[in-house]
Amino acid sequence: MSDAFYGYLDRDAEMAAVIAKHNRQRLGQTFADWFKEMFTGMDNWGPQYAERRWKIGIVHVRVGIGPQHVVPAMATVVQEVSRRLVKEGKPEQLRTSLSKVCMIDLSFIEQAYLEVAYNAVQQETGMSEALFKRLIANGANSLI
Amino acid sequence: MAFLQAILQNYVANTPEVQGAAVVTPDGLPLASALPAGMDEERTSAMSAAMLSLGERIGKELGRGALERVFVQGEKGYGVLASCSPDAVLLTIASHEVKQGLLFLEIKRVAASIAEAMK
Repeated sequence: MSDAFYGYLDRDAEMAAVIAKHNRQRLGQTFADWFKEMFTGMDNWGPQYAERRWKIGIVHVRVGIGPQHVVPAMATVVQEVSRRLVKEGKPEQLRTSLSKVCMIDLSFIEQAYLEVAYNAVQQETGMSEALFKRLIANGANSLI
Repeated sequence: MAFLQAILQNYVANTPEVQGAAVVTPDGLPLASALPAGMDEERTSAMSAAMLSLGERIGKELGRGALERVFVQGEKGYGVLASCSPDAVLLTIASHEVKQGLLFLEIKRVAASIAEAMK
């Protein structure tokens, strides 16, 4: 699974450049831990699980992996898992459940990305959250 | 906020070369405005609050002390932002013919009366 995941990322020049800065073996182990946790749920998919996912999201932001890369990478995981489940004759429900867990993880990473970006701008400009949201809403209106 | 509206209208009507004014919250919500027709009150308010906030941060970063005003000078005149109180920001727009010293004095006076009225 890890090979399929990083094999996919290696085909993207931008992602390959990010990955090249890190120890491949360590990345593979981190991926394996993350993948295993999806099945064990750590604390039954409770606060500890959420906290860990949140931190993974922040790490992605810090190393410059944006949502545009996370979504297709996660799709690769779902696709690879599906392929393996079909090959091993596992029930359809298992595939559906795993897809759902992957989507939850994806939403954590996306949310972390947005919040880190928001917080960074707010910290640098001194803007309140309400003002920042108002500017976004006004800007969005003017784009339509 | 009728009292704020009255202060602003009086300010714009009686100060030479002042073309408009608005009072907004630090979150960018308009409280009262006497802006020229065609100016988007919502956007102007949010941008004014953002500009003042950024000005305060820059002033602090550059070690310039407490911010007195943010002054925007354009080809057609000026935009000045000043804090009235922790809850209100005053935006003034004036033509390029305004006397800056007098404008700043007037802004201080109006900001103080807005702060007093909002107590």
